Amino acid sequence: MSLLTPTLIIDEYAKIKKTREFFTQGKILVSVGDTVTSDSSIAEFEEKGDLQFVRISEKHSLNENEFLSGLLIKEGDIVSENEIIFRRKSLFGLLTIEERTSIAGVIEVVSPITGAIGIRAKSKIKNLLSYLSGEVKSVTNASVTIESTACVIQGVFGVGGEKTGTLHTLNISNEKQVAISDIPQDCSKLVLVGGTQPSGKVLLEAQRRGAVGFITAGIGDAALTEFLGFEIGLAITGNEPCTMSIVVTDGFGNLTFSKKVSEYFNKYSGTKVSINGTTQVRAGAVRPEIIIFHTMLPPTKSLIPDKELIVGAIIRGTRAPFFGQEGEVVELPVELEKLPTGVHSRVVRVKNKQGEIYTIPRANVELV
Amino acid sequence: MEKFQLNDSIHSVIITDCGSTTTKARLFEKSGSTWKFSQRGESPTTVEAPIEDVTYGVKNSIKELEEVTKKTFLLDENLSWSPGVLFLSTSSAGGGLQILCAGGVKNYTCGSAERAALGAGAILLDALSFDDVREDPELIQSIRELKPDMILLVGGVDGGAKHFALKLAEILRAAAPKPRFGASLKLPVIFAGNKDVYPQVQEILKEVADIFFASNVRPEILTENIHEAREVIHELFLTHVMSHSPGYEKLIKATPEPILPTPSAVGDMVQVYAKNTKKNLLCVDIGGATTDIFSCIFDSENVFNFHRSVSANFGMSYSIGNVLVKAGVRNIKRWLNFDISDSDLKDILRNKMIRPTTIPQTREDLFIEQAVSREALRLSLEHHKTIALSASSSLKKEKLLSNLFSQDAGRNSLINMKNIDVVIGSGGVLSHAPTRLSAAMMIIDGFALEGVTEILIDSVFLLPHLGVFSTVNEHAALEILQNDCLIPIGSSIVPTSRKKVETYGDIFIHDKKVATIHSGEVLHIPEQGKKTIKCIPHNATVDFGEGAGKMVEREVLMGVCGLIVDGRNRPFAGNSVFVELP
Repeated sequence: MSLLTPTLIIDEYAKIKKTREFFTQGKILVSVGDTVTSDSSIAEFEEKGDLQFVRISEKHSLNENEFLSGLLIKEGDIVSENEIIFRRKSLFGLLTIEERTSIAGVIEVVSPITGAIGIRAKSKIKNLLSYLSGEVKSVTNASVTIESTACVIQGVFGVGGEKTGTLHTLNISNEKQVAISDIPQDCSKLVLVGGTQPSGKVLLEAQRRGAVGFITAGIGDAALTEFLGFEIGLAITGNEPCTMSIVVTDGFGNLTFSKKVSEYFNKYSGTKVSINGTTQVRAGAVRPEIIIFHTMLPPTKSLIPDKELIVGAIIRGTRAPFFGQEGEVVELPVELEKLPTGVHSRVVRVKNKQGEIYTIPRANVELV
Repeated sequence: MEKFQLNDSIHSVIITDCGSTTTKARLFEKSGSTWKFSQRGESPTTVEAPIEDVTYGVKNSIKELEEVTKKTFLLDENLSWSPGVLFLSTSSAGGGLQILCAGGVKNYTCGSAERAALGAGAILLDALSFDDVREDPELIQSIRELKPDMILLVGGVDGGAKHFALKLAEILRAAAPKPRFGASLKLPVIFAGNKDVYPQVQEILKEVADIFFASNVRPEILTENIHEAREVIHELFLTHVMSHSPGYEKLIKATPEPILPTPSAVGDMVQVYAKNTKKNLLCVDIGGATTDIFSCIFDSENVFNFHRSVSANFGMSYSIGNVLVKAGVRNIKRWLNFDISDSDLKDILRNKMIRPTTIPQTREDLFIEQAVSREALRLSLEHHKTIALSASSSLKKEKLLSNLFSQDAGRNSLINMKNIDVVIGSGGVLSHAPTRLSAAMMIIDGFALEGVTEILIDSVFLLPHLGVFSTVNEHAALEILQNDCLIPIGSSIVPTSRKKVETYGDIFIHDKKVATIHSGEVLHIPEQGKKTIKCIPHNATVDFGEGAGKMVEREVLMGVCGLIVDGRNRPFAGNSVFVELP
């Protein structure tokens, strides 16, 4: 029976396919077979303007009839900014109530019951970016599917949504806590990676200097709270109001990148990268992703074996006291064993690089 | 659908509960004419890569049963069953449903909407009322940023004012909220307000939402009716959140009975038990994403009241970050007997949040989780007290009237800890605690028990399974519950006093004095069986549960641990109130 062990994707030659779509009126700008980069505009679509309500009855304590008697517009009318849309005389003609619209747009709603007028601002045209660098495989009226071969690294937690930029490896060791002096003065469109446990101040400064992404192995709860300005309650993220997305590859605390991940970041520094900090740790789980676009050809023989928890597999601990430690599985006892907590659990025996053998609950490992 | 009948051809019943973190399979077998619990199997719930199919975890947990019993239950990978095997399942659709309430006036209908949402197991993101101080642009921004899974829109009594609901409908239209996942889909909006405005609500929101209707949560000013709204939320909860759990459709086809939500199944079984024992009962199921509390209380008019609350924001893995935020580091640390920095504690809990299937391997990690469980219990009980109001119409009207001026529900709740006779604990952190005594202490501390209370544990996590079993054979389910499932841990004796005292009183077992309770101390008195205890207060301010200064004499279960006598008074005070019993 194969065992179910979590695995985060780390694949230098991953084949990925994404369908980019929009749900309003729009125009596709590419054709099947086109080569696109992650920041290519592949479609234009109309984003509806905001609907703004002017609450006339509430503001002036009018009843339904009084509201209706003062209307100067009707649904469907086009209005200019500052145009008068309501006028009513009261107090025997001594007082005039006037309301103007603060935006230009179309009268979409006239609501007698609530005494409000809804004005829809003009639509904007927005660009849909490719996010992947690759080849356009298929196109419909409202979607584009792109395929790519890229180095994909899945994180364990992130904040912020899709960003695309250039990978920039900081010139520090993986064990060093990132300082402000370690980050470039101009971080425009860079996705920074390196060191560990950046403080909130470092993250905010990197964002201020124009970085669009920050990848770290470990982060502190306090740093994340300082960066966001609020505490995260649930691990459901992706819509935070930040211009820099963060992807954490290993977890909270003083953790470092695995050897393989670190090698990839160094190898591909300077190349195009797309990241997405969106995380959902619940039904329909979503993990943050780092997609590094390179032009390397995959080796002729597959170097990626199927990942399964068997003797010989390489694992990484995901909880104290072996958090972040890598080792090779040497034994998979069938019987439950008693942990120091007093609880019985299925375990795995692991040998580290120093040849020491230790025991971890199977629930606390992930395959590398 | 015709209800399935358990007949003589069935000799084995396998029931799985798909939790947020773990899928738990339980085997029940017929021996003669009696059903017994036989074996258990467990597997991580498989919602993440590389599997992404909930039935995989189900099959693995059942394969564990096959390994241990050397029997074959599954015929193939498509969940086909050997002859004579019945498969049933429950699901807690892990992770919680996030709801935004909108409409109505804050102390009236909006409050009822909040109770409907909370009682249905939702995480309440925000409540936007007609009389909200925020202007339209701020409300619109809030709706867009919160990204709810669904919206409960209310407002106006039936036949009454229309604008309480319509104004918020207009704001929802302006916000045009998108569901968190599935950008092509429309957000579900449940309208449970003035039925006279159904057509207008439909017209206003048809472009931006999928609209569902439920009876008005406040059909009259002094009548609250949140049952139907809760049921609609539950239904959408399963179809909407579970739709993100691949494999759910396959699971439905594998069983002849509907898959029950775990809280429903547990609630059904708890009611069966309470009606049989005729005791005031509190049951808690503390899971990875939610803490569900069930109360069965006979009120002052001797009416049986059952209430269920699903605190979808307090759990031991997915929601552990929320417990940290709501409880605060200080409240968690008061349950630890070692030093740890705030930042280290927070990082440990955040790591559990993002890797929910891990288990504590060190004693410190275990104590930290048990400390968090105490806070999850405390917070969930506070929430439950706002739900558990008397069903008596006159009291309800008084409560609703008082709500016009104050939202302090706790004073008028049915839940008075002095009157709770029995507490049942369930859920991984309790059922799988390394010692029964530590499980009892989590309950005593988390619920701040008072008076004399019997404590039982669902030792192998059978409550949800028996709940769905009871739908095909209630008698058998009750027998298994009493014989195989519930383990009496013991009884707690917790005196309270409004004034500071040196000693609370003396405890006698069968007229033999066994202890004097000193202020601040916690005693463990190992005893067995069912025994008569007497609690004699030392002065007129000490209350053992039946009034200040009154002696309490009662027959109680000693269980596997005996008596736990707690002199720390209530409410807990101080930075460190944790006591570890040897």
